[in-house]
Amino acid sequence: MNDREEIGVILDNITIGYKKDEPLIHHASATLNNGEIIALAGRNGAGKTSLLRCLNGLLNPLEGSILINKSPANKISNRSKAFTISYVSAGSNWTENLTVFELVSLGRYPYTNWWGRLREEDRAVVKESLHFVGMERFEEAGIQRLSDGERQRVMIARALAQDTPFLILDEPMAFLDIPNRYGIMQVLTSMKSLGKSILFSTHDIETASRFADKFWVIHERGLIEGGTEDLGLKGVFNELFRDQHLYFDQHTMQYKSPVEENRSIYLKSSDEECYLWTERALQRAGYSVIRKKGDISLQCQVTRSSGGDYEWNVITPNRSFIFQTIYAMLHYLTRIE
Amino acid sequence: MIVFLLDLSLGTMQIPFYRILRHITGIKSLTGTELTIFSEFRLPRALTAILAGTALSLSGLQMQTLFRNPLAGPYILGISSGASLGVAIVVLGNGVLMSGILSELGIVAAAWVGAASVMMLILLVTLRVRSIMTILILGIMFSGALGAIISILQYVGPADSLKSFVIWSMGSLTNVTGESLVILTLSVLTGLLVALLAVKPLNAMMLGESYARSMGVQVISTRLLVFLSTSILAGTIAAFCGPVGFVGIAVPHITRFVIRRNDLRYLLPSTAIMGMIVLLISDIVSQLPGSERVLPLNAITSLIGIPVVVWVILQNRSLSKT
Repeated sequence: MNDREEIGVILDNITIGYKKDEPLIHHASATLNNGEIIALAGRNGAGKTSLLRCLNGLLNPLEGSILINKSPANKISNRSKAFTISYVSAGSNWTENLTVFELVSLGRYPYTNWWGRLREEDRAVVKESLHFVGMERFEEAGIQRLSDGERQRVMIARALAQDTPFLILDEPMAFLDIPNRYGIMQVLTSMKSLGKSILFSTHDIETASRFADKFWVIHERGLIEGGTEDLGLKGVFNELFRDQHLYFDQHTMQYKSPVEENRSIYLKSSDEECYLWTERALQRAGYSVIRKKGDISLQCQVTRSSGGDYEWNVITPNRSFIFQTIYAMLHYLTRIE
Repeated sequence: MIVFLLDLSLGTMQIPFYRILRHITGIKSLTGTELTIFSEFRLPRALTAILAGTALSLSGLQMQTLFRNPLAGPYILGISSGASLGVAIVVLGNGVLMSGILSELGIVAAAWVGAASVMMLILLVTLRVRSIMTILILGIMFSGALGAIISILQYVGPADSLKSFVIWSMGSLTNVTGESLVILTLSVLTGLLVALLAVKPLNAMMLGESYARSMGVQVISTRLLVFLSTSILAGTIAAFCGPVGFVGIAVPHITRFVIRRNDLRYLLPSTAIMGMIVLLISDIVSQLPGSERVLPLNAITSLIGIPVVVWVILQNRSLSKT
């Protein structure tokens, strides 16, 4: 048990920052091992990238030490670190005229000779990595032609080609649409099945919480480590943006901003999907939506016209109107206030 | 190769192409004046063009790759300013002090010392300063300061020395013969060897220094290698041929445009060859075949180089939009 704990990347009481008197993260301890996916969350400027840079040896912690497979990180040469940790940075780079294959083969850097000649086995690893992220068809494509999602996959393939037990990714889901975010997370999940330990930073707690085994959350200069759901249960995600008046909705796993609800409206619809969308719109406009008809003077009933289209029927004590779209209805409601 | 032969053939006095071919292949030697012109002038000049073209374009390529800046060139860190200052002190200062006649070798030595001291300074800065951008800015500032000192020297220097300095600063391939050519060849080969050692780490640096470090690249020693190589290459050429401009910036871009690859294992040899061709063509043009006159080399390389640099700027703008 003890042996197993010592293998991996261990943060031992480290303090990170650029100035001694105002550190970003105070006395943080955490462990990355066991072939797990860990998501690193925290607000802008909390020190996520700095923490990742520390792990990568690009920055030294102010205090404490980082142990990589039992040895202190600052005693390990860049070269042997290259066999242990690979890195995918945030954002794209200035490079043109490089093919996907060439870029991914840079991941073989620690393994090739002085001229960087690729042996057969290096080529095989590169191809395998590209296949793993689903980019094998793009082998000869120029990297400047890739979309953000494809580029991110290629950068991950490069890290994979470096063939290290640990992978660190800075914001791998930034700038990606939802299918691509899930795609990237699925790639990371299948890398976990190769036995690799993965740490990535993200702002997308919603998506990350569906895939990560653990979270490291930087909050108020401390680092909280725990299983994803354990942290959810403890309300850590809720705490993260509390002072910004955001709360974490446990049902939808989304952050929501509470809207001041000053009027009530009774909403009735036989169609559940239409009900949800209408409810959303009304909540956005500051209405509290009631499912039970009480003594509420304002009502909205959704019906279907003879042509099969939805119609929104707004009834006030003295009038009633029919609208063809939610937008038109909302426009009217905000006017009568 | 063809350009090389053309360069041998064309000039104020033309030697027919086929006779040069015969001479080289050993079928029938040239004779008399033609032989003298060929072996004393044309051949050294063409060889110098080849060496200078290689050296300048390679050091430009290395600077552009290391600084990740398409407008960087061999002289960006002040190597040529150092050489110029060395020459300016000797040529102009000498005029003030003792007005003696200077040997060609004196000028070369002065340029060497100037370029080498700048190189030492750059290497020192590299060991101390971490940010590559800071190094770049320091280099530009430094070469500006050297330029200022040179213009003061030009202002106070005597008129005839001033003219010889200006002529030196226009660049020329004609001054290298005999022993100088051997020294030049050896220096360029040394610089080339160092450049080859830096190919692999420079390739990794294309993705940025964070990536390079994470792949185990020794960033500082790579910088030292590259600066060493560039200084040897550009410094030697500046010393022997004067500050030949624009080849170093333009040739890597022409090469990238032709081969459309950025992998230095291919780009570096191609750039070297392209550099030879461009400088040979520039030399042919500057000799103004069929006329008695000779144009300054720097004017020609600039006339070829400037459109390329302009094109790069325009091209880059459209690239960043897509």
